Amino acid sequence: MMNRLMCCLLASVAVLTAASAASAQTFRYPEDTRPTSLLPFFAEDMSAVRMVELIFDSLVVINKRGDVEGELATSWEVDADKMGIRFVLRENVKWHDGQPFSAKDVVFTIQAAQDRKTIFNAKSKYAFIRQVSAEGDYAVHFAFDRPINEPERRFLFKIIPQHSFDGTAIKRTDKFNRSPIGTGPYRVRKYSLRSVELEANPDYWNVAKIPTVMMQHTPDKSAQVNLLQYSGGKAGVQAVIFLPPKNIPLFENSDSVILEPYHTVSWWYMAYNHKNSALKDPVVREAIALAINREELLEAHLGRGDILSGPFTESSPFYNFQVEPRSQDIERAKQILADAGYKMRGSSLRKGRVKLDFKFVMDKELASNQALFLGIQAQLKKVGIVVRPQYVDHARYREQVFSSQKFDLTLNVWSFEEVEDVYPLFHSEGVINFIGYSNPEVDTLLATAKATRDYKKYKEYMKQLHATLNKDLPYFFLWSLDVYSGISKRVKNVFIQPYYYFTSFHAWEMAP
Amino acid sequence: MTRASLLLIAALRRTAGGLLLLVGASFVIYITIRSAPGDAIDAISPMGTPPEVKAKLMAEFGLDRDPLTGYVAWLSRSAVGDFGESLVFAPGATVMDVGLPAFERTLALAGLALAACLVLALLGALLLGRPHPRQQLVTGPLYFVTAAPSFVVAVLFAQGMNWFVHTYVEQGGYETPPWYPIPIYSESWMPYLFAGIVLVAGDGLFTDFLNAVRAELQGLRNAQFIAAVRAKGARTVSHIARNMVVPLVSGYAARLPIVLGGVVIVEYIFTLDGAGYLLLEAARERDFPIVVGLSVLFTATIIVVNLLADIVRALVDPREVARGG
Amino acid sequence: MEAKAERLGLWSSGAVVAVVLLLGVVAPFVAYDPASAVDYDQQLVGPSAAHWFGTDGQGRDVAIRLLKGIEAFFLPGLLAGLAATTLGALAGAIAGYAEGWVRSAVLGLMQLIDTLPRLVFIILVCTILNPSISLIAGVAAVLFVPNIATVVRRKVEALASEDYILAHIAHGFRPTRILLYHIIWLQCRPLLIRQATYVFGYVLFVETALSYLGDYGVQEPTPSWGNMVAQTRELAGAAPWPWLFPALAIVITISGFLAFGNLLARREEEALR
Repeated sequence: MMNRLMCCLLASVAVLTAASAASAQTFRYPEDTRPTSLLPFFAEDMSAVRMVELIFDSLVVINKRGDVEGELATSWEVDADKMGIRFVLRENVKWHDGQPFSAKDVVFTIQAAQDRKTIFNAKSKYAFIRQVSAEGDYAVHFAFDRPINEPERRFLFKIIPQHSFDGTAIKRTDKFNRSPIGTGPYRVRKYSLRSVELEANPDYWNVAKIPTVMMQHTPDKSAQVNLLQYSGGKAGVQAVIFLPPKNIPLFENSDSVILEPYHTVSWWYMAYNHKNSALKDPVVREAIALAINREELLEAHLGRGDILSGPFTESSPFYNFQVEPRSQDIERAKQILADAGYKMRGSSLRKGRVKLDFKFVMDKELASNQALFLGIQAQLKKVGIVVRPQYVDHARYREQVFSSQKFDLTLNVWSFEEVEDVYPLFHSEGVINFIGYSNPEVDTLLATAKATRDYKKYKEYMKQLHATLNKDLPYFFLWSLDVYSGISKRVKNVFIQPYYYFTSFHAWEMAP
Repeated sequence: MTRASLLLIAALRRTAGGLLLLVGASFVIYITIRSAPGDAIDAISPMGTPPEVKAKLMAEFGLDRDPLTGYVAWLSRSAVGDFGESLVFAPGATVMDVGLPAFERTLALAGLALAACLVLALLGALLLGRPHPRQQLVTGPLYFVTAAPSFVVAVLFAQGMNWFVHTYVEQGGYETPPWYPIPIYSESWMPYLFAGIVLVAGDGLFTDFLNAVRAELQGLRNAQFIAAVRAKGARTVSHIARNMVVPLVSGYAARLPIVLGGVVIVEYIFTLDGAGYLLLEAARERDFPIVVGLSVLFTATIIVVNLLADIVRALVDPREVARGG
Repeated sequence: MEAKAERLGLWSSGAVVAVVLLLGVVAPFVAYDPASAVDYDQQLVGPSAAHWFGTDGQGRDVAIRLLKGIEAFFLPGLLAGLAATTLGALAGAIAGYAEGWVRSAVLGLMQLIDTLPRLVFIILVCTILNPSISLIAGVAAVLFVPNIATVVRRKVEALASEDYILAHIAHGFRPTRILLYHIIWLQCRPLLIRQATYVFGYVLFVETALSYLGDYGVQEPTPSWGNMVAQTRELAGAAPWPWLFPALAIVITISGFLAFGNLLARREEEALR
């Protein structure tokens, strides 16, 4: 009796579900984290970066072939002395609220970004612009503080509407964060607790082919994968941005899902806190690096990738292939520690008061941290180094590691928009040099590289830096990953933009 | 004094006491949250933000005040219904805008699940009738099974579902089957239904209720006044029903906090967008106005439900008023 | 017949309690180093003679982690149960015996703690402060005090006018002795047993739930049933043994403890009558 009742109940609910889910042609995708803000300046996490890409336009974009293509700009001209650039803007573009787009919006965007009261991460991206001036409604001229090669490549930032703000000082609590107005292919239809629904912008200057896009925060990866398996259904999702490596085999011969590589300029590292008296010793840093088997960790937990020897990915122009990555050598690690005078006492090695017993702080947001730590802990134990874990949530992590620097070791990833700028990381006065690293040789190298105008020379300096950092180990550089998205085969014309992901989404199509 | 005025005075006294409790509880919650390491500024401000900029942001977010003054300010604002604005979760939206709809969903889920549980327990108690030794063979194991924590029930359930998914897809299916409980839709009823079932089945809620109702029924059937009614030849049903109201209402009110806690966890597992999800996310992002606001909503609900239960009790049973609660 | 069924329940739940207690006492003496248990050649091996309950995603033996996992909640759970009942009994006794502002203060404090939504508050504290099992146990113990205090207070108030208590008073027994021995120890014991087992089960429940919600319970690599069940988040149905066995252990332990506490209390109550 009870069983029959349950079946009836389930059946009636099923009908309900099907009826409410009748809207076809919706591209759904899950995200691991919620986008914190849809205002381009404050879109600092990747899920926000991806969503902003659907709502806003920039002056130019980089296309499939790696060339610069106009978006809000139709053409541009670099000044003869390379000290400026002039963009001609697209006419008859409308904001989502119907207002016309013009040069004053571009000027406003720069002024807002440079306003001292607007506080955001990527402020330095706008620092090269000395002056911006509108020339009529449809042309803008930018002046730089120094000559720049191919300056148009620096205009990938999103343009925001002047009429939506009271002044150039933009606050994080502005309503615009949740109800953004852009010129892009999609506009926000519904912003709810854990999902954002977008609809195609009817006034878009180009054509957006898929009528509705929906993002839902689904922190559980296994739920994401299940939903992708049902990509053909009414409730399934059409894409999973990062497919966990363990689940890739599930889709390798799938009829319904294809694996698309998603290139991100990002690399993993283990940071040493150089304020720790033991970690200040290069021998200890070297021994830790020698004790860890990166290939094994990578294979066991993350899938495929490249083992790195320096602060660049292998596809970067700065990667120095002459520098070989270390391989695990436990005997040698033990040897150099013994030579340096470290002796086993109790559970860990010691030299005088210096004890090789470290606090390993990890951000819970990085899901594979826990598993990786267990492997690292086991490997370090073999050479007599003790690490004690502390998993903390994101806010706490930022406070503890980046602000107050209460950690000895930590594991993390750096992601870069295009090419790696490592000056802020390793210069002794770099703004994100949270490890307290200071090496005069590196400082000079970084400063000279920054001052140079010759790209070839810059490349040489970076390669030199790569070699120095590999030797000195401010971080232990780990690996970069081959990341795959799983995308439903119903979705056609797919091109995943490196880093930004959805740049060409308006051209994606979906079979019914 | 008339009974009505007595009732009114009692109700007023209770309400005042409830308000006082709410103030106390909100103080505990506020201080706990403000004493946490890492705040909203850390969650959002970019690495390498200079201290003076951070200080400005602190002032903008109202975090520069010490917790005590902060609490006083918070209390004076929230007294007129203004719980402040979200800092990180939905920057600029008021706590009530974000929190209330979510809380309504959670409250509806918890309230309905508990109500369903009550009805089922009542039906079960009536069905089982007078306790009979042999029934223990059923109720004993039932107790053992339903004492499982609701979250374990939910995990087992979700993993079982995963297993179904894998088999189904291996057989070539890729259209979402109608039984799938975790759709990405927020409009769907499915996950709520399943979450409700899990809530009723878990935490020993059902058996607990069942036992309580049965004991109460048994006590009433054996009570002298019922015997007297029966001796007069009148029907006993209405008398028993009337006297069941008080224990049922009390039982409901007493169990609501437990279910409200269970909902938070179950919501996470079934990816529902209720107050539990909001609370966990906001706590993670250190969005303390939302965290405080929601916790106070939870507390207020418990106080209000207890107050209502008291009133119902007083209406049904005049002795309650005389006792002064 | 009824007595028989009840005895059966008492025995079976008693067996569960006994096994958990025994393992809890034995576990600390079993040598296990979580830091060197990782073995990437043995990932997710099914149950076998070498690994009774198989191995998990890190190649660690599930059986030994299950055993060592008891350690994580055993002592904190017992202490929490003990602390809650002691504090509760004391508070109840004071509120029942004292008069004037002391009574009001204790009653007010109890009411205040009781108003806090229990699980929500624990989740809040653990997400925000540094999570640990002692924190969970401590907060759980404090939150359960009012429950216990209320029942004890009622009992004290009811008994205060009973003849035999009055007789004791007339005999010149000291009030503390009457309160603590005659009323609380002799009369409230069944109730305290029930509450203590409940708190013990609750600590286990909260630890597992918090671990699942986002590693707010016992931290890896220290094994706990909670962080073992939490592995489901990554395994996604690939292999059931790393989480199924701990999940079953949780269900059996919690229901066993609750049933034992209830039945024992009921027996004692009957004996009191």
